[in-house]
Amino acid sequence: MLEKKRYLLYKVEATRKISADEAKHLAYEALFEFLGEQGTAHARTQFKAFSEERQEGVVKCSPESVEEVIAALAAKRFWKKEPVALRVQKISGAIGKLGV
Amino acid sequence: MPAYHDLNLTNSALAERAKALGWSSTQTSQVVEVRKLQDIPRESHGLVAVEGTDTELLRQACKRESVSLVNPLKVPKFYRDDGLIRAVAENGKSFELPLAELIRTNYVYRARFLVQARAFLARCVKLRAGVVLTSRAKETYDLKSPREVMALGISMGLSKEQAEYSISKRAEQVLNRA
Repeated sequence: MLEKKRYLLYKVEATRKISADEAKHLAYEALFEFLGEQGTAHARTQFKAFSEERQEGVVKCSPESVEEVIAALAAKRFWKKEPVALRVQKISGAIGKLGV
Repeated sequence: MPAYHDLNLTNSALAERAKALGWSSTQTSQVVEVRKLQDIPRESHGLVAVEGTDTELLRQACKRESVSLVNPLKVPKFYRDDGLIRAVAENGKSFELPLAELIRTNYVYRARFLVQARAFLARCVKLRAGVVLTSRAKETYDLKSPREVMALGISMGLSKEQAEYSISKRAEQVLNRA
């Protein structure tokens, strides 16, 4: 059976523009810090895409874990000793609708 | 969609940014550190939030009309202080839970905060004491949207409805009484 999923579009606010590779590390660091390895696995999270131009990324998770993932991203405040904020913009069941 | 209110934005210059994130209104409360009885304000113009380490003084502050919010985080073992929670509930005041405390901490300190906040909020719900989630934002990075604040509230053991109530209707009641 096809498992349901949710795609979260988030915007990175930082002191400088970050690359896609850095964005991936940042998203996973936020998730591991807040949810832990087991929680991240349980939420079936996966980094999907990042637009360096718009500084927007997409993370996939299970529908039951949306609130936990939003909280994990929102709780990320510092990265490499610099201030950072990950703001969830949109949530959708189809990645195409997020327009990344 | 209900109107969301952030009752304690430390940096009032962030009000416009907060509105862009979805907040209907923002307030900058007067924060009073209560060290002795005379510190508790008798009159107020706007919202007054009290905090301190002495639970007895905070209980006294709850009886004053001028006080709207009580920040319990500095009280030792605030998460099992039923006396303070009852005093807030009986006097119709609300607790303020500043999310900046959660966001700015890390590792074991954040875990400890979450455990204590969970225990505290469970007692507040049981004893029917009002709780308002505020940002206490000093920088734009501390600001969160109402959706994110609700998600953080859920991570501290509230239901989605309770988290939404704490930043909408409960916050509105506090504003109307001030």
